[in-house]
Amino acid sequence: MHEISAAHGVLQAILGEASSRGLLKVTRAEVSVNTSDGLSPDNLAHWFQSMSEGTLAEGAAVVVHALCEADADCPRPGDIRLDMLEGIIEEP
Amino acid sequence: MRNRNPGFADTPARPDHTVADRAGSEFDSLASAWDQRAPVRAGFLENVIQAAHLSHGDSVVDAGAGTGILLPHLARAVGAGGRILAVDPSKAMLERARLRAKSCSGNGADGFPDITFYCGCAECLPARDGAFAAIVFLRSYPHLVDRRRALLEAHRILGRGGRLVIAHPEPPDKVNAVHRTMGGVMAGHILPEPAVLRGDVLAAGFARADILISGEGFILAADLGR
Repeated sequence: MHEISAAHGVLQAILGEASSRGLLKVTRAEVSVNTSDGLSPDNLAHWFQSMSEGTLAEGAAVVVHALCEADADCPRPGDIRLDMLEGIIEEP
Repeated sequence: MRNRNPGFADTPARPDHTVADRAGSEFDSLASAWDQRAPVRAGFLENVIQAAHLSHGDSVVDAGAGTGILLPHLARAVGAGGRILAVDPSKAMLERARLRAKSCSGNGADGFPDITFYCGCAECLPARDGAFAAIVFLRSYPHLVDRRRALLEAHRILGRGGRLVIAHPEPPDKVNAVHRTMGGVMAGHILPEPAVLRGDVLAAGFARADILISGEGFILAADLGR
C-alpha cells in the first residue's frame, strides 16, 4: 500500500463516519497505521489534503499515528484505523 | 425474585446513597425554575439523539435526567419497544421529569416506551452489565461527584457497540462562568474542554470518541467498539 491509496481509504472512512455523525464539516481526524506498511505519515497527510478538496473534509487537520506491533492498539498490517473525528454539526 | 424489567437490576450494583444525597440536594431548590432558567433548543436535543445512534427497541440511560427535557426525544427514538432508565439524584427534578413523561405519553398512549425513574447517581446505576445500548449525559457531567467512577459505570452497563454521549449546549467557559457565579459547591462543578473530556473517556476504556461542535456547544460521542 502506498500513501495515495491510503489517503483515499482515509478520506472514504472519514466521509462515511462524518455522514453518519451528521457533520457539516470535518475539522480534525486522527488515524493509526501500522509502521510495517512503510507509510510516511507526512506524505499521507499531504495526499489527504489534496484529495479532500471540495469535500466536507477539506481543510481538516489529519494526524497520523504510526504504531508498531509492540503497541497494544496497533492496527493489523494493511489496516488504517480512524481513531477520532472532530467536526461541526451546526454553524455557530 | 424475578425482575419484571430485563436488563434493569432492582438495586444498584454498588448502592451509594451518600453520593446521591450530596449531588441531589444541590438541585432540589433549582427544580421549579430550571426549564426557564436553562432552556435547550430542540434542534440541539435532536443532535444529541442522532449522536446516540438509537434505534427502536433500544434501552437507554438518561443520566442526570433533570426535569426530563430529553425524555420525549429519547422516547421517540427508542419507540414503544424500547426502555429508558431516567436517573437523577434530585427528587424534585425527577418528579418534574415524571410529570413531563406522563404528559407526553398521554397516560399510556401507544408508541411510548417504558420509563423507569431512579432517584440516585450515575456512579452506581441499577443496571446489569452490558444491558444498555446507550447512555446520555445531557448537561450533567460537571455535576458528577466522581466522574471516573461514572465513566467506568457507563462502560459497565453498555453492551457491545454501546454508545456514550456527553452533551452541553454551551461551551465550557460559559458553563464554568455560570457555575462560579452560583457559588457554593456549584463553583467547583467544572466542565472540561472537549479534548480533555475525550481523554478521560478513552482512559475509562471506550474505544473511540468523536467531538461534534454545534452552534452553541459540543457533543462528545463515544462507543465501546465491537
